[in-house]
Amino acid sequence: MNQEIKNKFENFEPDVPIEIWSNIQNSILSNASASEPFSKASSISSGMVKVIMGIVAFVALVSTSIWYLNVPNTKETNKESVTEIANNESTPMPVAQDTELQNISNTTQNIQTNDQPSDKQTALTGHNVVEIPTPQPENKLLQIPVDKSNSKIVSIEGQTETCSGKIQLKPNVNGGVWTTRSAASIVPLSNGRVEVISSSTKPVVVYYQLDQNLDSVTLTFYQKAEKVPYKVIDATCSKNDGQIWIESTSNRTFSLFNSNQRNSLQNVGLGVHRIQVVDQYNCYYELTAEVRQTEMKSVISVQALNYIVDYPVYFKCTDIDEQTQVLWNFGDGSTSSDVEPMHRYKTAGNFQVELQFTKGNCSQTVNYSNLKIEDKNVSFANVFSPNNDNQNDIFKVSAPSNLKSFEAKIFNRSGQMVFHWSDSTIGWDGRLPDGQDAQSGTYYYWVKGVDSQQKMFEHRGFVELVR
Amino acid sequence: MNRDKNDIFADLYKQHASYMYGVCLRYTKDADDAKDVMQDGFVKIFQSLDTFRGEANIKTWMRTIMVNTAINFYRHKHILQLESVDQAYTAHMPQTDETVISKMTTDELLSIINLLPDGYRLVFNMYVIEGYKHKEIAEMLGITEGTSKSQLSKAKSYLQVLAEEKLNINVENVKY
Repeated sequence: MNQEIKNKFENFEPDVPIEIWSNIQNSILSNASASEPFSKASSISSGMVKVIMGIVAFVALVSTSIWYLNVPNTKETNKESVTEIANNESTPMPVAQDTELQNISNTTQNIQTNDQPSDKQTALTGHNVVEIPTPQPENKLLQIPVDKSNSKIVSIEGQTETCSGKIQLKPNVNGGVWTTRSAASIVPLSNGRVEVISSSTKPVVVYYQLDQNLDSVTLTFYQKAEKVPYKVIDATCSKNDGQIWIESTSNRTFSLFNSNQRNSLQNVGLGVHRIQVVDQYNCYYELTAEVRQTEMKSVISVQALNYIVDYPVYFKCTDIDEQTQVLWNFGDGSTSSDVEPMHRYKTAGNFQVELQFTKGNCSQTVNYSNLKIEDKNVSFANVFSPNNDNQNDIFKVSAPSNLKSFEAKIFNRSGQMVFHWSDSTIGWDGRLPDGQDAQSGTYYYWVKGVDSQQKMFEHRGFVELVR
Repeated sequence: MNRDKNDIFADLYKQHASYMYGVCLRYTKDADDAKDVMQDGFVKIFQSLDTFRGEANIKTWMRTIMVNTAINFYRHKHILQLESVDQAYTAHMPQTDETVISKMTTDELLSIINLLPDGYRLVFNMYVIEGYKHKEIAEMLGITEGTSKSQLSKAKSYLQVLAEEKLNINVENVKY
């Protein structure tokens, strides 16, 4: 476990908040002027240090936003947006892409041009040999800028565009010379103005030398990633509503928390969506995602005592909640918006039941085929009154004649059989086996038989005994 | 005027700031503390640049300064009370399932390391990631070797609980 954790952090190089560099420079400066060597610096905390002079950070860390546009589902529109992205990506940058390498070679070069060859020491940084001179004992701490007034020599001009890799600087005093040792190029413009271009995301220090005065500006350039650093990991339009999950494929983040490399869009509905993502450097990217119907895992279940015309059939579906709007189509032309409906078919036949879910902008359909409803071959009254008034005195099965076989049983509420008969022409007169009148109430019947066409039937249900 | 030292320093910063910030984030409880440690550390690096004689890899040297700065940061705040932290989490020490940790991304792992009590976090970082021996840790933190060992094992257990919670939370939030 130890080695694994160690490996995870081996190349862990998070983005450094840009204000740290300026705070460090300020600490060093204030130390140089004060004679106490370190105590002062260590008491400085990041929140309290104001950027005093000469150091300008032009990119504000922008918290994130994601938004999307629903595009009509046409392929042409898609192509256009893709082309746009491609154009943006291919904007040529005049600086070499491999900035890491360039930084290192710069360092080596800088040091080799120093005129203190005897004091050089060799040290390893990473895999590259870099020579670091030991500073002369009499060297004092370097002060940049030399004094506060110099901070007014250079200013940033115009609107700063984040993520462009370019920034324009303007000297407030003419006649100076611009230099940089960072991985950046300086393009002269009119009136001593320059444009600094960098493809590095590391801070760039630009110097302006005016006679004995030196001013420096620390600029941090943020680059649009070469490839879109995000990908769509999931786009579904299930009954849980349409959603798109986006994941960062680099260390770029689009939320306030570093650890949150994923984000989701909810309630997006079906179709092709263009998603614009802004990373923490305010660079824009565009992704497209198509939200399609996903295979429903929900299953319709049908329950009935008898799948017979006029008998109640109960419908259910798994995974429906109260927020889901449903529309049942029973296949015989009737519909219901109840979550768990009951339906009585009026005709016999094979029916295809369809359930449409709607939630937010997503809707889906799930089917149940071959629901077989049969004609009544026998019928019962569901209530009878054995009071000898010649009306419904007997609970009888109205069956077609010449049944091949017949059997019927009556049970009371506690599950005891109270009567049974196997001649379809007779019925139950409401008396118990011992000759006593059965109490009023609900009884359960079970009828089974084979009709004249050799077709088996079996019916169960409740009958009400009323006295 | 000496521009050389400053340039070297700027280059060092440019090359190693990201990594060093990563170290700071590991040793601290949040980004604010990490920034403070980072600043203090780099100021120290600047001031000690004269003393660096090239015996060691400069990255290692810088990291050592950074780690020491982090230790001092917490010692200075008088919140490095290892023994008292000790008792709080002794009660429930679950069996560790180490695969949980290996499933996490670096960022996820970092976010739970940040949640560790300060003492646990220091010892955990120093032993597991920086590779110090318990004896060295004991000397650097002014504790006994035994305390260092028990801190480490408790840190791991605690981390385990946090990791499991974290993964569970993620499973809830992210439905595939």
